[in-house]
Amino acid sequence: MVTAGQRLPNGSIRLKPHYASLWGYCVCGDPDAIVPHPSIGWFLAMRGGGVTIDELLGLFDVEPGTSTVLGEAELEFHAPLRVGSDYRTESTIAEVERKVGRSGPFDRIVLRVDVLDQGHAQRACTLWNTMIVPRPGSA
Amino acid sequence: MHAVEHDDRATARERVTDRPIEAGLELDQFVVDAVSSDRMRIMSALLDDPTPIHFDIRAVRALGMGDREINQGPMCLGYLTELVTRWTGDPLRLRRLRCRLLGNVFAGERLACSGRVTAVDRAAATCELDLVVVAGPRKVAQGDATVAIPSGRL
Repeated sequence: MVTAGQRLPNGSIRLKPHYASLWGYCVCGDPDAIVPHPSIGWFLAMRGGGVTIDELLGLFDVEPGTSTVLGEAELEFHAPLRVGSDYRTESTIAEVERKVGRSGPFDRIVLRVDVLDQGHAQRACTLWNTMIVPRPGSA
Repeated sequence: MHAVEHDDRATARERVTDRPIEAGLELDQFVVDAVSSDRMRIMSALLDDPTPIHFDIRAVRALGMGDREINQGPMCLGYLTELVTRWTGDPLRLRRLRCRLLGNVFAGERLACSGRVTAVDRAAATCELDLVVVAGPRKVAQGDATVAIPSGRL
């Protein structure tokens, strides 16, 4: 049983130039910008996490093929993100709650990921990522 | 309200620099002319996300979700971030941004990102943000952001 406060394995990722360029292009930013698009913090946190989304959902016994959606994302920035930097991620289950909406029961799972710039020994950003998992048939 | 197309970045930066920052100030609107299925495919590769609704129309149809590819949720976070960073002119001024997703965005849809300043203190401004599919209109995301204010801008 996974509960709030549980730590997940650490992960790591390098912010490669083509990641920054393609991310900027996809979100209609400047793909040639020297400073990466701030929203790439989401990419660093999730792609660089110590577990994949599927592995994370597996901890909650989510059946493969369940239409899990992103409900909310919040990024807090502590230091500049830098192309070429190596980042370590530290992930924690921040909240888990069962709710009932118009479409029936669902779980709201909030994952907190701290993204740490290893070269500069500082926390770069923090992501709170809220996932909505339908739980048909649950109370 | 000013509408800013997404290739008009430099002009937008020049326009915001001479306006006082105060509650009620509207950010220059940022428009995504047509959500691109090609960009969805690139995003799927970047995220290593095999979810087919972002690149396979047959999968979307099979799920009864329509007949166009469905945009990735983090793209909406990106659009709202782009709105704010165009306004500030400097991505490093962004301190915090929250994006709540309210509905699907489909390939080809035209999006309008808008925002307004809701509070200002000595060091930062808080803005509320909206992302709307212009046809409808249909609000598909909302959020808020905190940005650092350069000295001398109040």
